[in-house]
Amino acid sequence: MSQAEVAAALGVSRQTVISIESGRYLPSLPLAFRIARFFDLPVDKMFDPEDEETGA
Amino acid sequence: MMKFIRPRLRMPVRIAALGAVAAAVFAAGPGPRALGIAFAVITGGLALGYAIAAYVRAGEDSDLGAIYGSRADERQKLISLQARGLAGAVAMAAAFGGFVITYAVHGAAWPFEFLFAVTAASYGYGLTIYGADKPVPADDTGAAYQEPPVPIKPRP
Repeated sequence: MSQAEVAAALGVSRQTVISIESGRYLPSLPLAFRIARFFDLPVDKMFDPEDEETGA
Repeated sequence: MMKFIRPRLRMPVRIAALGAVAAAVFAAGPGPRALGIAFAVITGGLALGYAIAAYVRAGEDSDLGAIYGSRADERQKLISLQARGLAGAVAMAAAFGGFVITYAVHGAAWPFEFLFAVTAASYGYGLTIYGADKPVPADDTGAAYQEPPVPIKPRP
């Protein structure tokens, strides 16, 4: 799945998807919930500092 | 009114409109007429060039393109807001600096005073309308339980 497809599904720009992926931008809670629903993951996965440390 | 204009055209139209107003002021202002017309042409030309550049950039697939094209998402709106905040802070500092310098040399300092007062007052007004001065109940006393705004599923 391309970044452009994810961006279109989430209603944000491709640049924002790249920024979230690279950890340069923390999404707002409404966007975080949309991402969580889209990927079928718990929302705290996006804000888990342990995941960042391990690179998971 | 801007809602009737295509998003890509909104920023260029704003720039062109401001340029047209500035050019009209120069053309109708006091002083030698030829000089006023020359300033008006230069100002109008610069504004038109900036408006065209903004239209071109608005078509790009970039953060700047999204901001110029009035289709910014939450991160791009935040960037734009930060840039506006910086511009406001610089304007306030420049107005204060101009006031101090013109006052020191016994010049007409009132335009700088006015600009400083307007920027400072608008900061205070912004704090008020965006809720910084609203009182909050002390530490949950009397606060009723509210459902979360989004349904939260327990983790499996």
